[in-house]
Amino acid sequence: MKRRFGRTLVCTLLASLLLAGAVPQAQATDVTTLKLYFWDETFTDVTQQTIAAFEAQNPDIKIEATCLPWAQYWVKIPALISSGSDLDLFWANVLNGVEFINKDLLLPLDGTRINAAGFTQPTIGPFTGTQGTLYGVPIFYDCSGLMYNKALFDKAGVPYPTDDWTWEDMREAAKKLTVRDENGEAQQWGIYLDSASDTWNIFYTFVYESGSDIFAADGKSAAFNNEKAAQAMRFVYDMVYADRSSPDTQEVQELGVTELFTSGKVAMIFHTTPFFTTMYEAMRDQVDAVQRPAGAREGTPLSAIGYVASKNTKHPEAVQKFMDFLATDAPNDIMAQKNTPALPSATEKWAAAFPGSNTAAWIAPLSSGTGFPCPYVYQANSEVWSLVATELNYMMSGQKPIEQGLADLAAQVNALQQ
Amino acid sequence: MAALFIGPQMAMVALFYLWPMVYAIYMSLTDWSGLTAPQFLGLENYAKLFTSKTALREMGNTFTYMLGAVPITLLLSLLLASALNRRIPCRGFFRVAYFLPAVTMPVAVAMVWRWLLNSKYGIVNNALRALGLPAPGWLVDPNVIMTTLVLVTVWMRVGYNMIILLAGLQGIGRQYYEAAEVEGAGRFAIFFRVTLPLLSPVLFFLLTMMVMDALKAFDIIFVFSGVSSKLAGGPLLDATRTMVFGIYQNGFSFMRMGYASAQATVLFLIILAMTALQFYLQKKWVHYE
Repeated sequence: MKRRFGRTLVCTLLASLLLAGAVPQAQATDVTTLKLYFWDETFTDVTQQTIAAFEAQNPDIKIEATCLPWAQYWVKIPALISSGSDLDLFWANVLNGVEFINKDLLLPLDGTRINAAGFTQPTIGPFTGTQGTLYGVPIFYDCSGLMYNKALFDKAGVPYPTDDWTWEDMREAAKKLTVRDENGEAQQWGIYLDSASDTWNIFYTFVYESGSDIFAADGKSAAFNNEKAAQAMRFVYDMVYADRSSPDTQEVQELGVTELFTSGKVAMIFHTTPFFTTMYEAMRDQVDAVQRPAGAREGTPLSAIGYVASKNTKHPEAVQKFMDFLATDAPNDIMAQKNTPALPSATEKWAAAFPGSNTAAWIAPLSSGTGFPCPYVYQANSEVWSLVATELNYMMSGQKPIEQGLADLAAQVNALQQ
Repeated sequence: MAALFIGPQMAMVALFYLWPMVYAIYMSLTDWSGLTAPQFLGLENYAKLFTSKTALREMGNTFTYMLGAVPITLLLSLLLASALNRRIPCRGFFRVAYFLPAVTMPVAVAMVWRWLLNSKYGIVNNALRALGLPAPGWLVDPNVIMTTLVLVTVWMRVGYNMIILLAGLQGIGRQYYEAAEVEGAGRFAIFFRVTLPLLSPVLFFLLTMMVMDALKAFDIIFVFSGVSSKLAGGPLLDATRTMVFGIYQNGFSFMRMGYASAQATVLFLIILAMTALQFYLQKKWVHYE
């Protein structure tokens, strides 16, 4: 008898717990709630402002934003989609966006309602499927540029870089800006080339500028196993080892770029837009930037971040409304507080935060640039990325001849595509 | 009633240990990205694993790491334990000092070592240079980094092992030593004929645990070579990537859950075999009082 009483008590307690969880806290009948995920905590403020502006126009829709750190992001998002959990909107970058489109995990949008023509091809292209269906709306973009420390140029009497520089101009300036002590140890480097692991600023961009493609037009095989790409990589290699204008691969691993650049140990660096913002905050008018020096081919590869929606969303209509909103001025003006917004008309607002700087270096590629080279390889983009970094490291540390490295890399990338 | 007490615990073990283990073995026979339904492949993942240069390199590195770290740690901690078991001045201080690394976070340990071992500005190389010795690239030279990892591991593990051995040493009855002294045994004879045999159960325990730990090495590799190469790859990572690192990368970076499960299963079998071997060999050298 006693035992039965105990069991009943436990069961009642459990049942009441379950019920308590099941009853919705607020009986708001007409409000649709969307769940939104993004990965960069520093964008929390602009994200909240964007949501507030949207909710003001659409009182019947609420958006709950959650920041999932990058390290877990691409593990959790797929899990949330496949388990059918509440996930409506989320950030995607170019590489993962394409991957998700290929896997058929995204909600196709009604493109006629979205002002897609307001965006340029490098930013909206990656969110468009091969059939022309729109799957997302870009919110901001990053590109690679050449930043320089004005004081070091002044001291060496070298004229500042310009947007018209060529690779050779950069190489000559880097030589002049490298300072050694009596033992031949570098006290100051002309340039910082993270030649071993920076796949974006070193591999994709230099190879593209050399005139070689990265991937074949259908994105299904490697297209960089050629003499042009080899020349580009040899150019970088020679700046590091022949001219010794940059820390070498081992030194780069031990010396942080931020400290070296802000402390005036390095005159030039290649980096992306957000890094310019950080450096400007640290160095003010001591730092400026120009577009990447021109190689054989014009145009800088551009990376865009945008919102996409889960195929399994329960509120496609509300999602569509948010996407319509993203293509308007208001959210892009908000984004301009933080990073280069995807809508070209809003970029001037971003530039206003850097008076006296050559902000055109970061804005011009939005129209003249090109989409980021994407391998359309099922399930393997991150693996391609890692293969590139591995072989780049072998080539640039001199452990493998460049032609050999490119050939090995191409073979491995193609082998992923079965 | 007993079942009632054991029940919840066993249910947890079954749910969170046994079931995932069985499921991982099943997954290892499939191609599964974590997103779409798994596709049955049979033993294909295993065939790929044993022909993959990377996977074989991971196995090689794991064993190199184990063969370096385990014997050195064990010998050194035995030496320290014997020394600190004697009446020397400041014995308490030394015992604490050697144990401190064991209670420090491995990630913090690694970050501090990264500073100390910086080839240009680190204290270690500055000291070596001052003594006119060669200053190797501890963290950036692919030929040196495995040695670095082994040394740091030894530094981290020696304290814990020393404490266990100390406890073991103090558990040895005085009567054995007295008897040996009466028989006229010298210091070395006492150590090798009395102390070691009576300590062998403790040594066996430590050896078994350390071999398992070494085979599962991950965090130190992740922090040392993973961060330097931005987890992407290159000679440095290739010189140090272990089996668990491979599992992590394939499972969570590349979303190849099936293949990663196959690697995990192989690792499980290796650990099982190593442990079984040690239990077999213990009959030859472990003495229980």
